[in-house]
Amino acid sequence: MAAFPLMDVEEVVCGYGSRSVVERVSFTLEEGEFLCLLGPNGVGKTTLFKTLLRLLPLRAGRIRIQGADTASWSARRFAAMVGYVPQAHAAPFPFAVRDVVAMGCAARLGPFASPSRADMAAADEAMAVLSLSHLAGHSYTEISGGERQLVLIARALAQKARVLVMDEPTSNLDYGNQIGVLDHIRALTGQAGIAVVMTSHDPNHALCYGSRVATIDRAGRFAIGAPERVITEEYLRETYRVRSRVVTVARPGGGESRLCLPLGKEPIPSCAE
Amino acid sequence: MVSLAVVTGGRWKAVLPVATLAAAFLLSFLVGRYPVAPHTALSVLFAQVLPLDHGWSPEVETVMLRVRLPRILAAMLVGAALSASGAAYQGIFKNPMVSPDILGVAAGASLGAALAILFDLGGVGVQLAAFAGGLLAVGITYLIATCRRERSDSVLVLVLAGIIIGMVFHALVSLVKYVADPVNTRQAITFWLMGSLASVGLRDLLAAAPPILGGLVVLTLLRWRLNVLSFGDDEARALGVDVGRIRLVVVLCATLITASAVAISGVIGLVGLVVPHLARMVVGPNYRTLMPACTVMGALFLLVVDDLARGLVAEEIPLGILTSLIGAPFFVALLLHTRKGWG
Repeated sequence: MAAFPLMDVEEVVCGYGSRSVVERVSFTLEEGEFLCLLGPNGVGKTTLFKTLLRLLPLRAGRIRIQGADTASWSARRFAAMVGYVPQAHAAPFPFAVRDVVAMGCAARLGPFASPSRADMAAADEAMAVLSLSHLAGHSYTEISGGERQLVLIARALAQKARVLVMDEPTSNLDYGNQIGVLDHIRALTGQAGIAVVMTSHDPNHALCYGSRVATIDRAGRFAIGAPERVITEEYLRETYRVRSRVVTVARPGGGESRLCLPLGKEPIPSCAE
Repeated sequence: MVSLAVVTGGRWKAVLPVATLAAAFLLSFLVGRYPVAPHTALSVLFAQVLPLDHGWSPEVETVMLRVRLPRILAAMLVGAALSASGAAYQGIFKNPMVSPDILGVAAGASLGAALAILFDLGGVGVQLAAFAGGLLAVGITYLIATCRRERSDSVLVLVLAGIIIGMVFHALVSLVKYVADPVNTRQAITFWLMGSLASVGLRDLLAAAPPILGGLVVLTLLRWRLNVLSFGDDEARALGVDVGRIRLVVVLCATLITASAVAISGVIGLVGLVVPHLARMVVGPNYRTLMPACTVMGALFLLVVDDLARGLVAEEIPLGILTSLIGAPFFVALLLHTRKGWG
């Protein structure tokens, strides 16, 4: 098991129909990693995500889980390894939080089965990990956005997936909830056996929390590396036309972090340089 | 909060509706123009399984077992069918505001039945034609929606296609009525479209019961998956659910149930919309308990409304008209007082 990476994405090309959106995506994901995916709107982050989740067919390439090609896997088998955490959304029905988390057990249940006592215990455990136990009986439609996001993460934990794919988990959250959710995700990756891939729009989230950063630029090119190597002043200017300073600050507990300080947006015809 | 009550009070919440349904079943034998005393009714029923002295007139037994029993059973069967399929459609389409009328099922079944009446195909012919019409309508609707499958909003397309197909079939029903013999055929079609259980006999019941009960069993078995499907295709698939296959089975079962019910009762509006909402208020939105609750409460609802239809005034009120008159204000009240996140 240790010989193979948890997830191995090899030369993947993704897109809709006959159109390729992102080309040549290759990376591996090890246990404990927190990979942040950055890129402007409309370059194909969602397309790549849906492809990684096998919601869209691969146009080329291979996705291996612990060395095994997933091409022939059923949705159930894949879901046992890879979980999806969508953006906090409004459910059509006011399900209880505990019931929403228990839906993570679907991959382990036959089509005619309902969650057993053990499945509900797994749901309770997942809620406890994210300090959500007090919300168990509340209606999912009546809790806050930050709480909903954590509920969806708890659902992926109840799924017992090893790779969690998260679609902008910090969007639409206030500052405190953003940091709270990111703290929880980082704590999860610290626990044995879980890796997280997350999209974000904030370079500082990637710098402060990511173990590695992947980017897609406007030409659909994919790149990956250490946060401080990828998120540079040049990258932010070229991709977002934002002038910035990336500075190093000392952390109170020792060590240092890099932070991005935006200075302003460049004018649209950026032929000055 | 609501669901905690479900967890702690699950036992009596399961017993209460069933007990109420049993009571309504017994009381329904007393409703109607021919008077039957309560103790006589009980004696007649017990006499079917116990050796009792027959101290009542044979007319009483005929009225109870040949006239009222099929009708009571039909009301319960049709009510359960329309409510359960309504709840299933709501889960599949992630929308608490849809009902079996969506997908054009009811309209398609109406056209089939109207044609069968026009060509005088008899009771079983009406049933088969209604079922075929319902399936045809849902088939066309589904075909239109799958032509645009790569779009993510396939549910919206499905619902819109259902509305359009429903309109087309309604227009065709009007055409059939227009060309029908105005003296008796047109009247028969009109009466059938209003929805009534007055002419349901034991044979109709025996023909409709197997598909309805079979469909109900499948929907009950698959009920927990409906929770997951209500979160959308992508999430359900990422959670390991075979979305395409489950949805197809659920739509087929719900359509089979609806068409079979429409075939014996005509068009009975709003039951499939109102009862799932009532059930949700009582047991919460989890399909694990919602589906059985819908089945029982649907049976109870239509049984009571049918009792009103035949007991309220001397001349019977068509059931479909009564359910719409009761259901519509109820639904408006629901819209105005709807809980957050329902709309």
